[in-house]
Amino acid sequence: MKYFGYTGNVVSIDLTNAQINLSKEKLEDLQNFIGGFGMNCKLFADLYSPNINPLSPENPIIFGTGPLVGTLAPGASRTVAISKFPATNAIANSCGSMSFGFHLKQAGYDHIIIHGKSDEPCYLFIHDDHIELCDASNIWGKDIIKTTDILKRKHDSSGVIAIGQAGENLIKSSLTLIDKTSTLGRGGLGALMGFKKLKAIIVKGTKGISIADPKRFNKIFLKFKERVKRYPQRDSWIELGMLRSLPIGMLLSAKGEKSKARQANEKNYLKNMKKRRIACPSCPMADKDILEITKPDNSHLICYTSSVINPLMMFGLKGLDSYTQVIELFNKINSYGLDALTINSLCELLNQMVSNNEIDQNEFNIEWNEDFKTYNKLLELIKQREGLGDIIAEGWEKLASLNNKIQNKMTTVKGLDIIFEPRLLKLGTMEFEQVVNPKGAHVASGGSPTYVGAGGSIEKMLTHFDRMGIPKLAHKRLLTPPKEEMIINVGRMTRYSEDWYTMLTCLGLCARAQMNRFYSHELITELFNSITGFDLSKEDLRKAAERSWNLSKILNVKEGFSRKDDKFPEEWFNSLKYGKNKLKLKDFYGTTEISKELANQLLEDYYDERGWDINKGIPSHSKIQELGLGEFL
Amino acid sequence: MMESFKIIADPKKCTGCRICQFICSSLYHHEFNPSKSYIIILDEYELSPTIQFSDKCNHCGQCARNCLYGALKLEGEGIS
Repeated sequence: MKYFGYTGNVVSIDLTNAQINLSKEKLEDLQNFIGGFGMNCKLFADLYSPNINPLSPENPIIFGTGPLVGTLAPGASRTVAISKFPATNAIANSCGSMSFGFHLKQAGYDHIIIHGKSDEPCYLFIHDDHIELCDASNIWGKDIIKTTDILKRKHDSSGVIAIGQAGENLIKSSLTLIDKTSTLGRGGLGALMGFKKLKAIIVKGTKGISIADPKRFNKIFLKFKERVKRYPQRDSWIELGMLRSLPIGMLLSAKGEKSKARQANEKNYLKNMKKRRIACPSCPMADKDILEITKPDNSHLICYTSSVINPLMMFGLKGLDSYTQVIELFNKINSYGLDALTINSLCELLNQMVSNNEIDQNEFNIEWNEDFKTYNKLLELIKQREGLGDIIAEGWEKLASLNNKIQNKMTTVKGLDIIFEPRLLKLGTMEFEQVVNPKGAHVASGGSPTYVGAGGSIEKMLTHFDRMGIPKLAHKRLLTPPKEEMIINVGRMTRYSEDWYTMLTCLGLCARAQMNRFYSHELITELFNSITGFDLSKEDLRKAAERSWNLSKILNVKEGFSRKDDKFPEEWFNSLKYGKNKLKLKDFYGTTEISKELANQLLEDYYDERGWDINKGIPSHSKIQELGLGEFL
Repeated sequence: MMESFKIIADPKKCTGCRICQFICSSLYHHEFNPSKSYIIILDEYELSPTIQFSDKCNHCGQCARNCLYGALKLEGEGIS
């Protein structure tokens, strides 16, 4: 049987007894559960036992890619990892980019399943048919950057997923980096690999990918390329990268932080930070950064990041006064394999509570000051699991157990800190998604017109509805919010944002706004069919995405998650002090304050649009039957 | 007979996207396989990448015509 786009191969590694097995994917499965998101869910569900400890040999980690990855399909480079995550105890897919997925496909595999636990530190090396577990004792204890450099020097051009000291020390918010740049596995993938004593996976592929209909594909590619070249904003995207998507200087300015605003602006980024723009394989809209800064002692620091926004957002922390401090701190967080967003939220919370005398500093075992030195000290404590660092390493709930005031101030959902603050950005689909995502506070799957600034006109919003494949019959419901002046129903709309994101992730396509703006439901279906040789309709593809999302939800229902966990953080219903302003939680158009009653109504509308049980917030019996998921109950 | 061009490479503008390699390998090997491409990109995600051409390269110029970052151009033509 010949596979196109897909390789059809799954490699399973049992770390306990160093056994390697190869298996074939069924063609039927590859149409019903597509690629990185879909097949990851299916493979995980087939192995799944409920209520196991995430940090146990029985919890598998599955890495997967999509059928478009490893080809010239523009922006197809996603790597997806599914497991039960230690920060939340939820089962979730997590996504990253750079060259790992490309190399995995080129080596001849769609998925890697990691079982068991090694006694000694090891790393997995795959070079086409050569699959080997190698001794990692010389890299255990090293940070991600050094680990990746050593492995790439030894094995040449390759894709590398590695953990740092945070993962080795089982810190629940630890993550991994792909090729030193792209984060993968917010919520503890680092700890999952660290528990298994798996320091890294390095893949090098040279087998090539054949596609079903090269003529049809070439036609699509050439047209796509011309659209990209004609895009008037392309040059500024390439120049500024992710800084173009969120002008941090303006946000800091609104907060009254003029000096920081100047340092975080485009001019200073281009002059004193940006060293090189890099792209994932096949990407025409490069946005990843290699930064180089000169520190006050005249030494140079190189920092890799998939989004320059992440380090610059740390300017929000009091006591970080220069861009060199911000980049240095971020680089340390990244190298250790910690989560910059989580560390940022933690430091903000601790600063706020100390300044309000809401917490006794003696409980910390460190002298807490709002400065660079204290933040650095905190990182060392977390990395080594000492004192306060050991408590933080166990996650937000453990920290909350210190003091009940912390619990009330935390902006977390299902144990994961939020990424986007709706009191600042308004309640768009990405902000709402943080409440309903099975993984916990997660934003990417809520990507929709509400984050590309299309909110200004209904006409533009409707164009995006069509692009994302939202059925015409649903449009009226999406434009019927609980209060007329809200214009859109963000609960109902989020369901379709999730469908769109899931389709992109299944195929392996980039979901970032500047890339996904070129794609439509019709175009991705065309690409999928020309590459795989299948003949799926647009509705088949959307249904496959819906099936995969529901399967991931079913697994989490088995873990005990339900409507009670889809909870707006209490703090969102209080005002947020931002510079001289006090910001309230408002709808996407800023017309209506969101009360708890309205928030509940939006949640019910979300469940209703998903065809779920509104009271329980879980897939209904009829939805499960409709999607053919009965066997997974 | 296929036209032959002088291809000028500017590694500073290379992003490591490999689009040139996908194009080359699909043209000459009928598969997407950058390892068989006649244009070679080394250290694509490091500070200083290198662009080389293998002895088998016939300088057809398709890599440069498809480069979207101006890292490859044909002599006598503007950056694509």
